[in-house]
Amino acid sequence: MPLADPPRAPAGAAPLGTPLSAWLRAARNASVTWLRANPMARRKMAASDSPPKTWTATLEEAIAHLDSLNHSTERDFLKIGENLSEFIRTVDLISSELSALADLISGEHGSRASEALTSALERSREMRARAEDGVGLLGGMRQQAGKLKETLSGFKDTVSTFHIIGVLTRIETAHLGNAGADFGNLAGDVKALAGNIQAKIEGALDKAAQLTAPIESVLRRVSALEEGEAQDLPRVIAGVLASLKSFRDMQDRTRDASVRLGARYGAISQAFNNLIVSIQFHDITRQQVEHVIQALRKLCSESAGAGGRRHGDRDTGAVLALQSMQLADAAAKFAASVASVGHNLDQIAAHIQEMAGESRTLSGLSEDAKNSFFLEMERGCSTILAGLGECNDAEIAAEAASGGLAETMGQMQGSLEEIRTIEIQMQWMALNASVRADHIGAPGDALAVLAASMQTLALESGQRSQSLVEALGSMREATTRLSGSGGPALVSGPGGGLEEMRTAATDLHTSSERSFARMAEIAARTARLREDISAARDSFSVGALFAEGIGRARGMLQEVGEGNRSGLSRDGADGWQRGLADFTKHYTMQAERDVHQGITGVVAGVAPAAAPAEPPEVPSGEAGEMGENVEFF
Amino acid sequence: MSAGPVKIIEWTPEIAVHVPEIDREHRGMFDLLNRLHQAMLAGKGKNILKPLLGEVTQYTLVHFAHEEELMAAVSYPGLREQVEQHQALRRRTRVFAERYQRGEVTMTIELTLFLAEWLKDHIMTVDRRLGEFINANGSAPAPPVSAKKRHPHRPR
Repeated sequence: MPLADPPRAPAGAAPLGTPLSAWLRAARNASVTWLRANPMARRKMAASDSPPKTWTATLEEAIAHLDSLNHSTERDFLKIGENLSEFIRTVDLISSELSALADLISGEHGSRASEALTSALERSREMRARAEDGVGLLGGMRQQAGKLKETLSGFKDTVSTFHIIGVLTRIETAHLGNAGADFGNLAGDVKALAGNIQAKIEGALDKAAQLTAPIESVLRRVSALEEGEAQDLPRVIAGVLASLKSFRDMQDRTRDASVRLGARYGAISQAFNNLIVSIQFHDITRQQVEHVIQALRKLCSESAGAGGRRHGDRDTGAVLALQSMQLADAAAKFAASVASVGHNLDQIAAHIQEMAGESRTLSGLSEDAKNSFFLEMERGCSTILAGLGECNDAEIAAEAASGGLAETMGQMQGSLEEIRTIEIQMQWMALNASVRADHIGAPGDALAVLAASMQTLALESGQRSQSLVEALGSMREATTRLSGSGGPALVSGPGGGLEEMRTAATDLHTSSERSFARMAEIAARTARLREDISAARDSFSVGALFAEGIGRARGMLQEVGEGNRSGLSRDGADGWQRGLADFTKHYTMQAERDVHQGITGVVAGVAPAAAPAEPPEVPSGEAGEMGENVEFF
Repeated sequence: MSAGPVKIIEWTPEIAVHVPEIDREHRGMFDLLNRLHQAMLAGKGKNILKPLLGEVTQYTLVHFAHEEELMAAVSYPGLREQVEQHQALRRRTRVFAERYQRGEVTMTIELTLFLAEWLKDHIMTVDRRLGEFINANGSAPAPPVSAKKRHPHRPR
């Protein structure tokens, strides 16, 4: 903005067409005169220590300034471009992670976990029923073992009685003298047999005692199982299944979220495309500035080549005004491009934020509730596995006990068979004694009584043995039911219920931990991407820098242009102004090229007003001279 | 920003105590959590539980001792509160280790939340206050004696 009216060309000022150096001298003289008459302007000039520059020097300065501006803005945009590819990769990654998460929850993994757990619940109920049966069986076995002991204890009386019968037989045979000689052997046989029975009974009693301990041990373990975590197993599994109901709800939400996610991803892709267009647009403005730089350089070099002679100052002024307008246009485009880049970055950040929200929508829970959900799932899995561990231990104990019981019962069976053999011997002995007593007649009456007692004792012992055999039979059957194919209380090993349930619980936990970790991963990646985009957005301050730089360059061009215009008469200046306005109105690339050609003297005196309304086709050779993308303008 | 594996939590200089040994150990704790996270992401959290719990237990023994020595050396007013927190963390870590010993392996989510809470509530707040105290009261003291013993060739 001039401080006062621009200095008019003084009398004798160089007319149009005068060599440039002469014009500059005249202009300088005019300025000096004007400054002398204008104290305000003089003060302003005095404030500046720098000597007045030539117009080419000013143009060179403008060129250097524009060049530097182009490079610095280029760097900023390249940085955004570099970040952009990283952002796109990250968004792709987040998108694929969300899909993977959706698959974990609603896909095969989720369904498999749900099915496995449902089956686990059925099995755990079955297992529980079997465990209850096991307790019943073990209780029965304990009772039978008690009876065994009691029965075997009863044999002790039999043995004592037998011993007494043996002693009485010896006394009676001694009274009979020779008549009872045949009974002497009987007393010895009864004594030996009684000792034999005693030994067998004591052995059987030891075995019976051995039966009780493992039964008690298994019974304690199974009872503990019922009181411990395994008792809660069906309830825990039912609880986890209820959580899986939430899992299924998640599946529904995931399906909806996947659709929204697709749309969101589409919006982000669109925002990225817009960002790329904005960045490309910047490239166009950069070339526009480059083109202005070339035009200014040409102006300087041609002026120097022409030995300072100019074809016409009006054309020079037109070129400068034109380049200034080009710069103004570039600045406007650049500002729009920068605003668009900023807007697109904001949009991407907003979409990413929403996309991160989708990961929360997938679980349908708040952060704390999500953690609680996964924690509950984990605890559920832990309880199931702990319960299964108890079942497994109980099963191992039951199997070990069953094996031991079977062996002991086998040994008892052997003892009982031997006792049965002894009982038969006793019966034979009693029969033999009663026959002999009958042969002796009245003196053998006492011996007949002893023989009858012996027979009664043998019969009682036989009954006792029979009950022992029956008790052992029941216990064997119970043992078989406890561990055999007749109905296992617990099943482990490959393909067994326990193993299947353990696998289901472990798989469910793995799915839970992966979902949990993936949600955390998505949240962290999204937060970091948001921060990076925000940082890129904040560091993208090139808009103000460019506007300021262009303003400065235009000021320089205006300075040179006004210096040039000051050499014109008022009519000439008005005509120049009108011509420029008209030229601007009908500005085309060809018109600009014509102006350049006019300056270089190849085509003389092309008036801007005569410029064609439509741009003519630009020959490729000339286009290359103006810059690769100059035809875009 | 890298599109590769992401750390769910990162040590930043803002939470430095400015005692290299302590800060290195704090960074190690962050690393532990990130390692557990990566393993869980692959569905292999159970596989690293044993070494991880071993490291956490070791950490509570060695690192807490370092911190307590340091606090005593600078006459830190929050020493008592810190020691109490350390004891609580030691107890909780011991419970995790005992559960693992009993055969429990499905505890990765709980352990992650515990470690995250530890980092957030202890290292990033309580220990950070210690760093601020050290900064406000001049340069950091010499590294703890036990730390020197453990790393005799550490550059000064």
